[in-house]
Amino acid sequence: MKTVEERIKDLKKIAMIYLFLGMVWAVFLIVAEKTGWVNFRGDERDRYYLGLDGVDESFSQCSLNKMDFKLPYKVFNFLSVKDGVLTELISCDAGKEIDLRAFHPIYEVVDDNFIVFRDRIKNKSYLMEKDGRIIYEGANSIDASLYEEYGLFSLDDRAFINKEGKEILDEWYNNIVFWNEKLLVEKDEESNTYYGVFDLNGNCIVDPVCVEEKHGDDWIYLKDSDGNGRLLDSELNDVIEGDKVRKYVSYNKGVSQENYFIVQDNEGKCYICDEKGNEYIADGYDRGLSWKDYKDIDIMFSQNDKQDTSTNRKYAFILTTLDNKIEIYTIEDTFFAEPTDLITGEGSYYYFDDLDVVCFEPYEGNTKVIIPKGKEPYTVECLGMAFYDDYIEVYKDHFETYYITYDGEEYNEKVR
Amino acid sequence: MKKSDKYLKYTSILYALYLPINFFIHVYQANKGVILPFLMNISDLLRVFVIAAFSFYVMKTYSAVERDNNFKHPGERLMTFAGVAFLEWIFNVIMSDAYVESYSHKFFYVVMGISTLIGFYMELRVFFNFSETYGSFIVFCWIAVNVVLAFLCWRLYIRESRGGVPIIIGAVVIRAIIRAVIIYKYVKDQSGAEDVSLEEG
Repeated sequence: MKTVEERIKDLKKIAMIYLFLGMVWAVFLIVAEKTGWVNFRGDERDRYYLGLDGVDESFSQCSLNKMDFKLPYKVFNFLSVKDGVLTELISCDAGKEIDLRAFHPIYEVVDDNFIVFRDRIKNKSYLMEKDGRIIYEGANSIDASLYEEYGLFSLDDRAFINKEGKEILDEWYNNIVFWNEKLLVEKDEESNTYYGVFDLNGNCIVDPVCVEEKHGDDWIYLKDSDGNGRLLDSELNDVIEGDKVRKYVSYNKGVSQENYFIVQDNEGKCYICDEKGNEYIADGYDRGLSWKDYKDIDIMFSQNDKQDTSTNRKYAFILTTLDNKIEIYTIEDTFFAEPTDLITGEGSYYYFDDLDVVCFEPYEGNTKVIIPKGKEPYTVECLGMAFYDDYIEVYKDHFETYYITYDGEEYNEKVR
Repeated sequence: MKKSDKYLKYTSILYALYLPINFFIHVYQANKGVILPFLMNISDLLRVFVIAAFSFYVMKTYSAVERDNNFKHPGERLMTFAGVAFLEWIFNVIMSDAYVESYSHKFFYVVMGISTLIGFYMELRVFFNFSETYGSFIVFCWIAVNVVLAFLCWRLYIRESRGGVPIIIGAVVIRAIIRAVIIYKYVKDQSGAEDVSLEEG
């Protein structure tokens, strides 16, 4: 019978044998793999079937001829043999929904020359050439929808790269919109948002200093920090020459959107135009309304919920007279009420066409102005109001509520 | 008593806990499809060392009467298990970047299957030797769980369906528990023996 020391000695011998075997095994594997003596990987399938993300189930796979692309072994090598075998054994064909992210990275073949793939383990996206050379890698997803026409890839709409993998803009933006072969950029700086326009080569057309930007299919409205607005066409030519575009107003009319621009001419008078620059003539124009009599115009739409998507949505014009009074004009009622000087400063207007009332709520302070149709406007000090058919509920403070008629008198019929 | 010998007995706890933990992390990752090969390669190498260290411990402590000249000591069997695990680790590391879904990789199945089979057999023999001392119930449990596991794997292989995988995983859990009980009893016995020998000394 062997002693413990002898047994330990034997054990060390076995350990050394396995260490030696391990080295021989490693050399054998490397050489066999390099020279192809042993087909470790097994038979290569004729075609690669790659999972596509975000595509309808029936189109969720695309196939490639095996010679078309060199697949990214070196990037996509996160499966070890042991884990690979286990994954296939445990997950594949198990008949249950399993998140096989390791097996199915997101692939997209672009223009038969590039492959875009996303490694969902590392959360990285790669743009790879046919020969397997990676020309771009980053955390943002790569969108190739613009490649075919413009040779560009979008990185989460925050930057664009070309087919050399180079970013075409100097910096990353919060959002970039592709519009008429131009890039509309949006960046946030110290709680302000600025807008600018670049061409597809990365040249700046409008510096990203504009504070407001609205665009349609073939028009764009940009306003700088001085309040000077410009209405431009798809080629970025001024639609309105000389005059100053002061404001953009839009509303949904049925399924389409109506766009209006309040423009001020050199004499300081205002008019309204559409996106083509055509002057808008209100229906009541021939009933005594002349835009030129006003120094500012705005449009407000009825708060009536039933008209939200209606083509007949009612609206009213807020007209600022030359002596700074506010006048309300509607198509049905022409001049809604007498010009009032109760409204001063900036605020929001609310128009209830079914109740025949307009309310002005200043951005600062609690003095609301009520303008009933055909009656004298008046002010109410309160936190908020609710408008009913016969009366207005006024929230004086957090605890006290009272009721008034649309004439501004106390409403006694409401008993709580 | 050497200091290293004093700590050697803790390898049994490591063996009882680390091996199943390592295995079930693999299973979890495979099931989720989120695989961290680098960390798991380190973890697998540690597994080799744990098995080797446990084999040293067994070699030093297991002193059943050798029945004949062909009797193989459990420590040697465990070292064989460690050696095969080491060869498997080398294969895994070297062949890792060759694992691509587009290949059939039957050879990978063969290598992993053989190494698993050898490990299974070595453990079966080693813990059978241990359990003999602790009554027929433990022996029965150990043999039964291994037979059931082998049967389930054989059935999986024959049917080529993956439906039985969860039951196999369950059998592996039970096997790990029985193995831990045997190790616990074995270590308890050895500690008792050490105390007696110290008192005698």
